Order: sequence, then C-alpha cells, then structure tokens
Amino acid sequence: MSTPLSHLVRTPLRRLLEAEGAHWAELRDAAVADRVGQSGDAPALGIADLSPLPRLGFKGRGTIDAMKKRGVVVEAEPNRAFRQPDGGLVLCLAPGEVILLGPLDGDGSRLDAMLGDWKLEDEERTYPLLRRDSHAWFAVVGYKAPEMFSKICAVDLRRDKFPDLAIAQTSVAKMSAIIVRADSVRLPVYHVLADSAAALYFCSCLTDAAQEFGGRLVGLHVVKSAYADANGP
Amino acid sequence: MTAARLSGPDYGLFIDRTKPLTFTFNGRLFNAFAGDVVASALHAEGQAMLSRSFKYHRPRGVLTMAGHDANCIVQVADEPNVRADRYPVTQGLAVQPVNYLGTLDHDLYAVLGYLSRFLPVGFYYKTFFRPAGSWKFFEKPIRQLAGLGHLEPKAQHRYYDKAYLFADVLVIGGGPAGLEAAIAAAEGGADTLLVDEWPELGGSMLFARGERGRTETNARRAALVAKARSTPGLKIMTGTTVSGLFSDNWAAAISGNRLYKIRSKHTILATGAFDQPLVAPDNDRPGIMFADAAQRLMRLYGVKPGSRAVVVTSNRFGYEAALDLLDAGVEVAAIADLNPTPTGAAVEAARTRGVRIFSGTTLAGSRGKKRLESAGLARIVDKGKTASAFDWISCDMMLMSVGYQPALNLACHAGAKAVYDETIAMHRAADLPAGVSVTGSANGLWTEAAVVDDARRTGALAAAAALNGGAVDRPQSMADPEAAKISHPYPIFPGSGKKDFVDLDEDLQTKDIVNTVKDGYDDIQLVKRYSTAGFGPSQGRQANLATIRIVAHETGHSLAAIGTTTYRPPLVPEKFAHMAGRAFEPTRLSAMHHRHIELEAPMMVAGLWLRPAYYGKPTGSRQAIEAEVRAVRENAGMIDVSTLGGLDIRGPDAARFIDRMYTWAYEKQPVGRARYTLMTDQTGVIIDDGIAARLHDRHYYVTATTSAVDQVYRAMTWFNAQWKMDVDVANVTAAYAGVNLAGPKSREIIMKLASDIDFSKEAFPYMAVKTGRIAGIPVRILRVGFVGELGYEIHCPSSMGEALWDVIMEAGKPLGLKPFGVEAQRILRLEKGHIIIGQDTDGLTHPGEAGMEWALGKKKDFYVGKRAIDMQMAKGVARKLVGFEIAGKDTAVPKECHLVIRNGDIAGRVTSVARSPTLGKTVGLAYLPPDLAETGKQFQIRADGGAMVDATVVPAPFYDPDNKRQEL
Repeated sequence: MSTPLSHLVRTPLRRLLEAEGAHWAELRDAAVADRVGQSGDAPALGIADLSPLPRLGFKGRGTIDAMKKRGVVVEAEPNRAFRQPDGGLVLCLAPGEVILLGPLDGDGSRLDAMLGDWKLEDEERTYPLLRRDSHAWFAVVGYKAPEMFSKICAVDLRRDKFPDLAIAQTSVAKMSAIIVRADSVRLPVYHVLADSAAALYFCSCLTDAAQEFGGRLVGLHVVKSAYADANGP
Repeated sequence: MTAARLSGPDYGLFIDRTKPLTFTFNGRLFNAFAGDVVASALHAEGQAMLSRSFKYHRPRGVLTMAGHDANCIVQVADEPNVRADRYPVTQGLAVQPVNYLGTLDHDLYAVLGYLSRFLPVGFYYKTFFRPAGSWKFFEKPIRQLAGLGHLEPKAQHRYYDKAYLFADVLVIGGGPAGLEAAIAAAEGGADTLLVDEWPELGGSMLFARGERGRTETNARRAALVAKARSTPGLKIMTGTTVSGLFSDNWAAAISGNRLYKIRSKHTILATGAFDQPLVAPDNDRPGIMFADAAQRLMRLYGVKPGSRAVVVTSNRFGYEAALDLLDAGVEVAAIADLNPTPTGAAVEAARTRGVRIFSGTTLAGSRGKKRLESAGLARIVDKGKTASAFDWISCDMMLMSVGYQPALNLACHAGAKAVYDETIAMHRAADLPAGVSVTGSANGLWTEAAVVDDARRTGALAAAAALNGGAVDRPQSMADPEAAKISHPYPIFPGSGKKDFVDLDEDLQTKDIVNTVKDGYDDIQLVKRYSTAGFGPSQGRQANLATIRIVAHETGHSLAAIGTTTYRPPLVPEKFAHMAGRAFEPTRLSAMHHRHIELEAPMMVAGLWLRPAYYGKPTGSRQAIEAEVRAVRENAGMIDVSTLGGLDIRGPDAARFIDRMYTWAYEKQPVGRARYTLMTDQTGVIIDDGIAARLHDRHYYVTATTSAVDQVYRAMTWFNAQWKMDVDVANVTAAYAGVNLAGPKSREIIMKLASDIDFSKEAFPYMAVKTGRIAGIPVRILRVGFVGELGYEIHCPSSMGEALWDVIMEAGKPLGLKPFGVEAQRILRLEKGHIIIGQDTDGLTHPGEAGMEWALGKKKDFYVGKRAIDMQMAKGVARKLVGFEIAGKDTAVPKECHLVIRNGDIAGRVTSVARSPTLGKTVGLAYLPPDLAETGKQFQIRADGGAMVDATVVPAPFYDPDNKRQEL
C-alpha cells in the first residue's frame, strides 16, 4: 500500500489523516487519503484533503492570453471558475491571475508540462506559482456546507446566492482563503484553498464547524463519488 | 405543588406537565415542569421573594416575567446575573439568591433601608474620600456590598461560537406585527428572516387577552404562526434575541451559546413595548407586578399568580388582565383606574362581572413583609398628588398597567432618535436610517386593525426595497387614535415617609431625581450619571420614562425638550464568551514541524509561526543550546528556516525594481549571485533585511524576515502600483520550505546527496546561488553565512520540506550533524555580529545608527528612504550600535533592553547579549552615544537587581572577523 512517506511530496495533514485511519491511494508523485476511518458511508458533510493533487498558479498581466494559448478554458472574469475538458478546474482570481486545479484522478501531466515549458524569455508576462506548495486544498461536500461555512466565513455562500463556479477570495477562520463552488452531479461541493503552512489549523476549524452537522474528514473517494461519472469538478 | 398551578389547555403553553423536575433555590427543594423558568416554578410554590434590592435590600419578586428587570437576578452554579424569569429549569439545577447577608428572608443588610437619609443621591461622589486616606477603610465593605452574585474564577469553560446569517429582510419580533410583516415581506419575494426571543411565536398573543377575547386571540395566533411557517422564503428563529443593530443592517443576535451576525438589506423592528411602572409609595413588594407578568405566569407557565388581586391601571390591558384573573379563579378585589371616567369594552366587562372599579384612583401605599398583604388606594387630586385618605384592601398581588414605552432601543442603535409624542404619552422613532422600519406597538400602533395594516404594508415595502436596491419610499406611520388611551402621562405619585421607586435596579426614588435636578444636574444625560437612573441591569427599561417625566416636571420643560439618554447596545446582557466566540488563532507550521516535535524541541512563537527554540528537555536547555552552537562551529548544524519570507520578483524591470526597493545596488548584480538587502521606509527607518538572489536576468528570489515579509510584500505591491514597472511580485513564503545547513562539514554532507549541482568551492563560492536538485528534490541554494560558517541555505517546495530535512539529517548523521534551534542561532549570529531587525533596531533606527552605512548605495539616485537617510547622515547620529564585551566569567550577564547608565542618566540600551560558548565570554550589541561608542571605551549597564556591570566597546564581529570560515 502506498503511504505518504514513500514519496517526496507529502500533504501537511499526513499525521492527522493517519491518526484518523486514512487509507492511502497512489498518485504519480504522492499519496492521497482515499478513505478515512472505518465507515465507508459518506457523511452528511464531508471534508476531504485534496492537497496531494496537482495544481499550479499563473500570475501576471499576460496570464489570460497565455492560458488561452495553452488551450486552457478561461476568461478574464475575476471570481469565476471554469471547468476543463480533463476534469480540472481553472479559477480566475483576477484579470491577471489564475489557479489551475488538476483533475481528481491526480493526473498532473498537463500542469507539469505547462510549468516545464514556461520560460521567462518568452515574455508572456505570466509567471508560474507553486500553488500545490503554497496552498492546501480541501473539498467540502454536502448540502450543509453553506451553514457550516457561515460559522467561519462572513461571505454568504448559500446555494441560491453563491452560484455554481462562483469564487470568494475571503477570510475563513481568520485566514485568507479561496472558496470555489463546483457542484457535482449529486451534491454541492465547495473547494477551499488556504495557506499550506496553516493547513492543520485550518482543517481543525473546518472539522470543528462541521461537527454539529455530522461532518467529518473523508477521503478522495467521497469527492469522486459525488462527481459520479465525471472525472472532476 | 398543584395548588398554585392552573389546569386546562388555556394555561401552561410552555410547560410539559408530564415531565416533572426538581431543583433547589437557596438550598431548598422545589418542584417544576419541563418548560418552566426558575421564577415561574418558584412562584408556583409560593416563593414570591426572589431577591433583595441593590441598595436597601428590600424584598423583591417577579416584575415583568420577561427578563426585563433586575428583581429576578439569581446565581446558577458558577454563573452570576442569571435572569430567573427567563432561565429554564433543568433537573437538579442549583439556584442561589444574591445580595444578602444572613438569609434571604432575614437579610441583615436590610438595615440600610433605615439609613437611607444618609445615602442621598450622588452620595458616593461626595463621601468616602475625606479625610485623605479614608478610602482604604471604606473600600473593603463597599466592595463586599457591591455587585450582584459571585464571579467564580474557576468557572467551567464552555463552548461558544459565532455564525453569520443573511437575509433580504430581517424582522425582529415575532408578535402580531412581526408575523404580519414577515409574511408580507416573504410574499413580496424577499428572502426573509424572522427572529424572536421567546421559544414560541406570537408575542403578546401568547399571553394577552386581546381585543376580542382569549379564544379569538389564540385562534389568531395559531393561524398567523401556521401561515408564517408555511410561507416560502420565510425562515424563523425563535429563542434568539437581537442585542444590537449597527450600521448597514448588521444585527447581533444571541441564541444559546452562539452569537449570530446577521446581515440584511432591510430590517423591520416589531419589537413591541416595555411596561412602565406606577411610581407610588412601597410600589416594590413581592406580589406587585405588571399585568403582563401575571398573564405570562398564567398562560405560559400555568401558574396562578396569587389568590386576591388589586389592579391599578389606566388602559384596557389592566382590565383584560383582571378578566383573565377572574377566569383563572383569582379574586379581583378592586380595579383602581387612574382615569377619572373609565370607558371601553373591557371596563364594561369587568363591571358586569362585579369587580369594584375606583375611578381617578391610584396606589398610594402597600403593606406586607415577604409578600404584599394589602394595597392602599387613594383618589388622585392633582398631577402626581393623591388624597390623604386611603382605602386599604387586603390582597396578595397588585397588577400595574399604566403605560408602555415603545422598545426603540434597536432603532436607536442604528441611528434613529426617540422623540416624545405628547398625544400618545410615549416616544416614537424619528430619523430612522435607510433600510430600517418600525412597526406594531414599537411604532405607536395598538389596535389590531392598525397593526395588521401597518405591518403588512411595512413588510411589502421592505421586500420591494430590499429587492430593488432600496429605491422604494419608506412606509408612512399610521395613525391609531386608540394609542392615546394606553399610557398615562404622569403615573408618578410620591408619598412622604415611604419609598416610592422610580428605578428598582438602583433603588432610586422620586426625591432622588428631584434632588439631582436641585443639585444642578438637569440635563437628562447628567441626571442619569449623577443619580445612576438607568444604570442597572434593566438598563432603564422601567426607569427612563419616569425619570424624564420627573425632570420635565421639575424643570418645567416639555418631555420632548428633555430628550432621552442614549440607547446603547447590548439590549440584553451579553457574555464576554458571546463576544469572544470560538477563538480563531491561526498557527503556521513548517513542513518540518513534526520532526522538531519528535526531537523534543520546545516550540516558540514567531509571528504566526512556531519555531524550535532548541532540541531537548527544558531542564537541560543551556547545555542543549551550547551543544548546538558547538556542533555548528565544529561539525555542522541544520536549522529550519522555512519561516523566512520569500518573494519572487519577475519581469523585465525586476532588477530596476529591486534597486529602488532596497538600499544597496542590484542592477549590476550578476545572475547566480546573492546580495544582502536592507529595506528602509520613506523616513529612512530600517524595516527589514534579507538576501536578494538573482536567479535570472529578470528574476530575483528575495528573502525577508519571518515577521516582516507581509509588510515587505505590501510595500512592494504598493510601490509597484505607483511606479507601474513591468514586474510581478509574488509572496511565495508558504510555497518554499528551507533549511540552513552550516558548519565546516556542511559541504561534505551536502556532497553526499545525489545532485546536479557542483558544490566545490570554486564552482559554488560564498554568496553564490544555484538551482537544481538534491536527492530528487528541486532546490534553490544560497551560499550565505548568517551564523558565520560555511553554509548553504536550501529552499525547496514546501510539500517536500520534510523529505529534504530527512535526507540531509540522514546524510549528516555520520559527520556529527545536529539540528539547532532559534536560541543557538541567536548566539551564533551575535558572535558573528549580525543584527536582527526588530531586535537590534527599533521603530526609529536608521542605517547610520545601526552601523549599516556599508549597505547604502551611495551612487544611486533613488531608493525608498534615500532622501531621509541622506539628510540624517548629513546631520549626524545621536547613537551608535556597537559591540561590547564583559570581562570575567562570574560577572552578571545583562539582558536585552537593560539600560546603559552614565552619571546616573540613561545613555543607551542593550539590544542583544549572550554568553558566547565559542568565545568564553559575554558579548553583546548596545546603542551608545557617539562619544562612548569608540573601541576601548568603557561603560556601565544596569543589570537585574540594579547591579552595575562594566562593559567595554569592542569591534564586531566578535568571531572570525576576517570571514575566513564562511568563505571556506
């Protein structure tokens, strides 16, 4: 069985997930908690650590054009997300900044290639950012998610006010965070990106807020199941 | 216990008679039902006295049964200031009365009532401080007398939190007006939230008889509540009290242990009105309560409030309460009506049932010890005056209903004014801010038809306003002719020789307010502060209007001219725990954090980060730190520097940008080289330092100090926005983990790891920078020497930080590699004479003072702070940061911030100091006047306990001044 220690890339929540009884699944260069705990049932509210999955950022005034040139589906519409053909998601944070979330199957080849091919000399005025390292990635799955967020975030995330693919760059539990709603076929899903160095603290806030709704940590498979046949958000 | 309970479906709406409970009050066992509050259960069992008054320790009992008064304050376990008339009974609850000496029945402090003539209004402003020094004798007994209840320092911690709520329209108050308004708002398409403080919706319909009788009122309530619950878009929260309304419709609401922060586009206040007391001699005995309170006892809790009642009233509500009492089998001995000619349906109904009605009559006295035994009624002969002849009527309860005061507190929090309206003898809201409406009795409407019409219109308009961005006219206030019949304009009848209470919280009498005015405090704000009227827990709900009336009467001004005191939040008591909520204290951990924990490192706070202080048990900290220092000097050590700030500066103007941001010169810095950076603000004050590593012609990787990186990033983006340079600034602190591998064996260690980097001295000299991989991990390596040894600062993506730590520790184990913490690093860098920004500098330090002239690009035209620094350098410095040493092993070691003393005056201060394990002596840095700062000069430091320590100025660095070791 794959474990995080067999890889150089490790989630900041490794020890917490191990303590919660995580079963790890192998990705290309890391292990991701696929199941957490003994119960196979998805709770009313699930919080999954997707930090080991690939993601990459680009910033700079030429970013949107540079992304389009690379076949990324994106428009210069700040605070809107765009679904990608490979199941990934692209978050437009500003006219000159995007974050690309890889698909849930962990295939990072596309993002690796984008990073590998990028050169300063190309003068595209777009600059890569290691978002897999700077930001932990959580998925919050379930209808109670907006109510849970209302305990730690001042933005109105109710489903009729915060539509699918909307983004909030805001403060969550006194930390900067990016929240994007990308519903699955079956359930509302909110993806949250927050400072990787504070991932443990952030996770404790999420699980604490989720407790009254029967929420708990879950594995990647719960998120994948929510997205049913699709490969991602 | 059933003797005082009423049976039947009309009584006990909140209680479950199938669930009996027991609890204790004052150590005595009492029975209750689930749903009872402490006061209802006590009253049901004949315990009319709940507390002792604040100043004179008079017996007090139920007054409002709504949590609006201080009579019901009790202590429950470790929680003081519990309102017994709102606090639910649970099995085994232990309730204690407060504010007495001896027993509640025989309170020895009650003697203070006989001393009242020595305690005139404002006495505490005039006494206890003369003669000088006398306060210490008064303080202890006064502290013992002051306060209600006991604050338990060891109180159990409980979980409190906060949550946000959102709505287009927020309706506060679930009475008839609130329900109608909320339904109308939701029907208008607005996402509506209705909040009510009681467990059930209905407001006055829960307990009051109503214009058309109890049966009709019940049916109306049921229909309205059912409709509200089935109206789409209407969310209902009961048991939730809005305690403050702030700008932009920000409402604070308390529900249990949670504080809700509610944001709405429009707020409708259907907050009702507060009962106002009759001010008359001995108007405070247990058994004297508002008519509404008696009705609440009966309807909500099934408690028979007494057996024989006198009702004093000036409106239909008093009569309706009397009819309710009759229905409940309580004898109504008399109704005293303040009006000279009582009229109306309720009056006729009471007459029909044979109740004696005294017109133009009021309470003029009462008798009874622990509870009311008789009420004295007298004819009103003039404004505020009664005839001397009394009719004494035996009774165990007296109900008051002589007027109301609209609950405009929340409206005033939001910016409205409460303006007195003589026509209804009540206040109205004026100058309501946009997005706030008032309806129902809070808006001066008292008849069903007027309330329904106004509330529906208000709800519909609020919905339209919320949905159309507030572009709808505010609803006009309706007129309600019946409103003029509710409040008596002056229900104040002082009596000589007896205490007539205006403010029951503070035991203030009419004469106290009169004397306040006589003392010259005739402005209502000063009246409040001098007399303390309205200062108590009820915050003037029952005292303010009477106080204003007395002041108006005494000064001859109108009530409108007197104005009101300021309504301030919170409307109801909020606990600090509500305001604090769940603590959110973000903590940042490096990727290697758990490795430090595994090595038993005590962690220390550095900004939001935790950093290892040293490795080992606290009992051996000194030895551990010294061993870490030795390892670095003799073999190798590794410190986690992930907390260092990191910034990627990329773009065609990167070099020019760095050159303007930092004091030194960078445009000609070769690619692959690192250079020290010093940042100053526009006044020339040092704010940060670090290293600029040129990774590419157009790419700098800049490090910043742990605590200042956010400030640096902010400054860079701010200046970049102004300068409009072709450069991108990114804060990559969290993206990179890092270690500093330092010591004579560090090269040997790093060369053991598979890498595409040539680590030879020639290929990778001091201050060089390289990128590549070690052990498969992508790295940026800076050859810098903060600790003064051959060293490599290795930065890698933070997701691989733990792996980086592991591979280096493994490689270094045979060569004596030890991890070292912040404490050892502080000593190492001090031996090398390197300053720490923020420790060796302060908020005014400029480079000349800190000996950093060498880091200034003197030929540069511009950098942030240059103009100020040039001026300061031309002017000369008033202090210099210099190195010093202290001879002798046994000499006391001063501490940071100890003062340099010359001729008894402060001449400077120590910024860094440590006993150097390497040098075997104490070395440090200190600010000294320029004339003392020359090498060889001696000065004195005042250490702990005032010991004067001799120190000598010496050149820094103290260790390896020729830099041979770091350039190995």
